[in-house]
Amino acid sequence: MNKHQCFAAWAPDYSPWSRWAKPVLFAFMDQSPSTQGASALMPSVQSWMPPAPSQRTAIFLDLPGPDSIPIALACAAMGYRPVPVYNALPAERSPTSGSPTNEVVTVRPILESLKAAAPLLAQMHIPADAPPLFLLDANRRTGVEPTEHGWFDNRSVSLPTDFPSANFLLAHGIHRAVLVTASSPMPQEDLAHTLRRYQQAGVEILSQPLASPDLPSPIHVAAPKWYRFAFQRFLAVVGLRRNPLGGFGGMLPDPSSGG
Amino acid sequence: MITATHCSQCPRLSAETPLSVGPALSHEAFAAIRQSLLLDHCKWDPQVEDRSTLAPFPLIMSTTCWARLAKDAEELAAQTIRAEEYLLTTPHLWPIIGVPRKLRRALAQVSRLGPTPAAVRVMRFDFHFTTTGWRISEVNSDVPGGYCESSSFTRLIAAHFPALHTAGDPAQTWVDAMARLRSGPIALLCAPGFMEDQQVVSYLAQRLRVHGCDAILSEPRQLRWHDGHAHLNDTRLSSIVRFYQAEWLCRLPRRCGWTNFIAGGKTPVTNPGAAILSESKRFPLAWSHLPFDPSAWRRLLPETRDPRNAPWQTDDSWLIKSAYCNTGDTVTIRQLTDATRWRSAARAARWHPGQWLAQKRFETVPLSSPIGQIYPCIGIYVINGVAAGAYGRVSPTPVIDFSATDVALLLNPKAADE
Repeated sequence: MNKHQCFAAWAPDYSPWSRWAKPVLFAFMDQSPSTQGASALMPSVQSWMPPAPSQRTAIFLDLPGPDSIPIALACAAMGYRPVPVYNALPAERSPTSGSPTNEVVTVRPILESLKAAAPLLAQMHIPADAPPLFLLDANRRTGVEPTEHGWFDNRSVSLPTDFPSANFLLAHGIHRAVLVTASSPMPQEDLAHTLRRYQQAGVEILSQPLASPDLPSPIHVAAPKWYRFAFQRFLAVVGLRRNPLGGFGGMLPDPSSGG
Repeated sequence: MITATHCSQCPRLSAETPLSVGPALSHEAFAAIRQSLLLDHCKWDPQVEDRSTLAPFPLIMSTTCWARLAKDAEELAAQTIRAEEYLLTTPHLWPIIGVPRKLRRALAQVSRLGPTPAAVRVMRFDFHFTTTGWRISEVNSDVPGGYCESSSFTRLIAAHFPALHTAGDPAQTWVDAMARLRSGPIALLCAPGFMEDQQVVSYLAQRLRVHGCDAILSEPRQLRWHDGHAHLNDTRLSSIVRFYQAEWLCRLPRRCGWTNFIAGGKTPVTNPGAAILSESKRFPLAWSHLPFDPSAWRRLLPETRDPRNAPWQTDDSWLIKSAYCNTGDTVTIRQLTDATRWRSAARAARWHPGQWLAQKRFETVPLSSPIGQIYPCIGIYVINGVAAGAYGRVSPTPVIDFSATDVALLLNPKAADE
C-alpha cells in the first residue's frame, strides 16, 4: 500500500472521527513493505477488554511507542474506530550517510506499525458509527533518550484542539471515556487538559492501567496547571522546558512563530 | 469537475465588496485535495477541534483589485524596509516600539559588528475589506507562514476553476530567491513541539529540495557559530531560514550564539534581525520620529496609540493587543471576548503598557458562504520587494487567529472592479 492507501485505511472518509487523524507520520511513508512482522501486531497484553462498542465509550490509548497499535487492531475487530493522533515529525535521513538522524522520540517504529496494520484495518468492516479509539505515544513529551547535540528534537504535546470537543462527543452519544495507560492511573499533563474539559461537560472519565488487573475505574481529572489559561495551547509547550540538570528542549511560553 | 467559467457560478462582484465566495467543490473533489495536502504538501493541521482549517470554496477577486492591493503591499514593504534601516540607527526609539531588553542589546551590536546579511526578505501584509475600504491589521514581518496554503492549496483549488487564476505562488518565488544565493546547505530552524511551525519549514524544505537545494531541518540550539559562520553538525551552512521568532531568540542560552542572527553573523538569514523592529505592533508609535512620511502605512493601518493615551477601557471602538502578537492570539475586543479573558488582557495592558497598544477597530464586511457568515483576510506576500501571492483566511468572527480557516484566493480577469 502507498501512503495514500495507508492513510485511507486509518482515516476512511465515512468515519466521523477521521478528521482528527494526524497525517504527519503517513506523509513520511515510502512504498517499501513494512519492516514490522505480523507478530509485532499481536497485542502483548491480553488482560484488558474494552467495553462493548454499544456502550458508546471513547478510548484513549496512551502507550509508549507503537504499543497502542496491536491493541487498536483488536479493538477495531470488536467495532471501534482507531484514530491515530501521533503528531511528531520523524527524523530525516542524513544527507551525507543516508541513515536516519537520531531522534529524541523514536517514531519510526510507530510509522512502520501503522504501515503494517493498514492492510489488516482496510479489510475490517468497522461500522460508520463506531466509537473512537485515539492512539497516542506516551513518550511524546520526553522521548526515551537524552538529547544530544545533533539529535533531531521531535517531541510534541497533545492539545485539546487535537481532539473533538465534548459537545461533538456527546452529540455522537459518547458519554464515557476510558484512558488506557501502561501503569499510571492519571493522564499525562497535556492530555489532562482535554480530559478535564470532557469531564466538566459531563463525560465520565475512567482509567485502566494495563499493569493493573482491576477493571477500569472512574477518576477525577483535576485542573492541570494553566488550565483554560488563554494561551494554554501554547503554554503546553512550556512542558518542554530545559531541565537545569540537563533535560530537553527550550522554554517557549508564547504563540507559535508563524503569523 | 466543477468549473467556474461563467458569472452564474461566480457571484458578481458588487459595489459593496470586491470579494465574493465561489462555489464549493464536490465532497469527493475536496477530499482528494485535502488528502493530497496532508500527505504530499506538509499540511498537518487540517483540523482544530471541531473546525476544518481548509475551506472547500475559493474567494474571488478581480484582477484589477488585486493589482491595486499588490501595489499597496509593495509600497508598504518599501516603507517598512526604509523605516527599519533608520530605526536600526536610533536605539532610543527601541523602547517605544516595545523591543525586549535583551534584543535591544543584540541590536546595539549592529553599529559595531554590522547587521547579519539577509538571505531573502519576506513580509506578509494582512488586508481586510472594511466598511471604509481596504485596511491592514498588521504586517507579519519576522516569520510569516502560510506558504503551503497560499501556494499548493490555492493551486489545487484553482485547477477546478479554469476561468480563474491564482495571485502567484509565494513558495516558488521564495525558493527561486533562495536558490539564487550561493549554493550549499540551508538550515531551516523552528522550535521543537510546534507542529504548526514544523509543517511550514518541512514544506519549504520540500520545495527547496525539488529545486535541487540541500535543505536541513533543525532548531537554533543545534547551530554552532565560528567567526560569524553558522555550522550544523560540522557542516558550514550557506544560509539560514529562521522560522523562530526573534523575541524567542533572546531566551536562548548565550552560548548558542543567538546574537549572530542579528549582528556580526556572516551566514545570511531570512528574515534578518531588523525585522523585529517592524514586527512589533507598536511600530506605528515610532512613525513621527522617521525622516520620511510612511504614507501607505498611515493610509491603511487604523490609528494606533500607546494604551496610556487611548480610551480603550471605556470606548469599544478600540481594541488592544500585545506588541508581539504572532497569530492574533492577544487581539482583544471587549464585545467579542469573554469577561475573564478581557479582564486578563486589560490587566496586562495596564501593568505593562509599553508591551501593548490600543488600535482603532475597523468593521470587516462579512460574506455569506457554504460554512456560514465569514470574515475574510487577505495576506499579501512581498518577497524581496515584489508582491508574490496571497494567503486567504476566513473566520466566523472578525478576529483572525490560529483557528481561522484557510481559503484559496482566485482572481477573475473578467470581473468588473469594485
